Amino acid sequence: MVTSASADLTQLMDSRRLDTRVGSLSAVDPYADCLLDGQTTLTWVEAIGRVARLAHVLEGCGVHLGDRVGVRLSKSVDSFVAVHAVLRVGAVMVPLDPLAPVAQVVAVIADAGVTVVVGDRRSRDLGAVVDATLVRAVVLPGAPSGSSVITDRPIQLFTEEDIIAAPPTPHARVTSPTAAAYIIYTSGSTGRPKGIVHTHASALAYAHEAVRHYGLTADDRFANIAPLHFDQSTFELYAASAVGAAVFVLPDPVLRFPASLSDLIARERITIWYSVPYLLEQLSTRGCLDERDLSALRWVLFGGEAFAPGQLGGLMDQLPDATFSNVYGPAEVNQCTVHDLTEPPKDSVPIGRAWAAADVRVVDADDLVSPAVDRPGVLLVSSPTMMSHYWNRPDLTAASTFVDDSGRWYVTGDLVDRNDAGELVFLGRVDNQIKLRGHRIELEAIDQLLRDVSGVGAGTVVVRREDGGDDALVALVAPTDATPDTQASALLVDAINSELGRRLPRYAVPSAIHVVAALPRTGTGKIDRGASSGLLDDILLAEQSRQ
Amino acid sequence: MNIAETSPELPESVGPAVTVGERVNDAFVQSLIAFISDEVAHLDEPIDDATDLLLTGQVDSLGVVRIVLWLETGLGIEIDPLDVVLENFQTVGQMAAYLRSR
Repeated sequence: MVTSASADLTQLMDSRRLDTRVGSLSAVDPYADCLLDGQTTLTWVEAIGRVARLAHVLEGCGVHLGDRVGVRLSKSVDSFVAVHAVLRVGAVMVPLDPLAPVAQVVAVIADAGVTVVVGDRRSRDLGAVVDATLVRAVVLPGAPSGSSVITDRPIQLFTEEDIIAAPPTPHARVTSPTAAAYIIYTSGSTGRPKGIVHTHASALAYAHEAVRHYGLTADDRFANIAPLHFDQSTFELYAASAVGAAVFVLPDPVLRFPASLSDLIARERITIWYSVPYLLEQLSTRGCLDERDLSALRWVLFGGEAFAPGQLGGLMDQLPDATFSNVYGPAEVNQCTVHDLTEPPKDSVPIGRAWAAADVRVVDADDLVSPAVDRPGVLLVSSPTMMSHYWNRPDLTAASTFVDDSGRWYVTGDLVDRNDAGELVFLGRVDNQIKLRGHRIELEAIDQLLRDVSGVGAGTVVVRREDGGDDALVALVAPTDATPDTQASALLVDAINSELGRRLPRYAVPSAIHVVAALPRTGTGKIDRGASSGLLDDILLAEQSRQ
Repeated sequence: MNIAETSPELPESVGPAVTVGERVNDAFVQSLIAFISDEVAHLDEPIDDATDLLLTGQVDSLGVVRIVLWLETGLGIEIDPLDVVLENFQTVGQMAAYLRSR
């Protein structure tokens, strides 16, 4: 079956692009770099060929239109190939975190009804995952024949030999633009997996707007930093391939060595970067940037978390030739606002204004129909880059959707305000706005102030229920100096108390501050407030047992 | 979480003017492995000098920092940030080779 003229993601890695335009997508140079990971380089013709062969193997597994296929691969050229192969057979791609515990992976597989997994040949828990689910076939790119997955359940197993020997599928399966393309899972506040369903149309709308907004061309060179289960990766997956640009898929080990990372970015002449602030902070402090020629890097995008203005300013001084942008957008809508910086920020960075593909509205948190005038409110977004629904959660979908004459709006649950320049400023999650002894407090606001204190690398505040029944605010901070001595820690605590005492009303100042080596982070690198609360439990328990 | 580093237990020095390379002997390597296993590694699996510490998420970026600090403290040296690269820290064997080359 031939892909129709309607736009879908399979056109991105379509062999017809090797010599002609496909729809609005430019032709690509067959011998130009498409995917690299430091060990393997695939030109466009090689990458498209490999996608088509893997797609044939998936067809051989009995994958039908609309079936959910899990992709659980650490970062390599094969992770990108696998995504496009799943899309090529008209299936729904479900990225699974390679480092998540088995129980978490199993929960997502069960929720999405995944029956086929493209997995990592080095993974040691694949057998346990298969044992606990209804997965009936596993494909292991790169695995030698004779590889096995140790499981009690009967499964079909396909290895590298099967992929190489497969004929490339001549055509992608017909899908409609509104068909589901991939499901990104977030844990949600209750811990039950919540799958965000994006369609071919929403992904392509995002890709095309990104191409327009950032002026992406085939000469750009992207670095894939975010793992597949973190939606920042959609930038490299779909926007890069939309313009025919090369993507260097950065293996996880490199990300742990800022000096290796900066060397790679310089050598590979990476032109566009998109990550959470944490990695950029590491690059700035430990990446030996003054020893690297990073002149090719023209645009640095960051998002997912606030970037402390002092640390951002330091990085901007180190990379004077790059444009810096704060990108905001819940995974439910990909991106919706952006704030470009031309000079180091004086205080916290706004999330800016809606980009061309989105309409935004700020409404009263308690009455979505009323505009929030001159006060903080909840952000609503309407955009072709929006998700279609939450997988199998009509209750959640209904609760997060607001429909009126102008269209369908996603209720972000984020509190925002406008500054004097009319730019949107992120205040925090509505859920993280707590009431403490009658006062409304935004926890993220305190987080930001903690990070502003010199010597603090990362900080977060959690709410503790004390024995007397009262709630207290407790801060955890990780210093920039990874292992300060007790005196340095005491000085830091003192500095924090002094600074927060100056800038916050008394009720919002944390009653205790603990200095830790590092704050727990989620699978996407953001600070995990829930796990931080757990860490605090451990600290207090240890203190008690020493008394 | 105890953030003050415990001093590594080093073998007694063999005399004056021992080079860094000479101090990185088998006993030192064993104490490095013990430090990583006990205080840095995320997984419960056994580690030897050839174990790839990065591929399976055993050691994260903070773990790298702590290993560097432990080495600097234990050997009384400063490690150039430019040397804190993947090639020198993927296995304990590579760390020893790097230290011996100084």
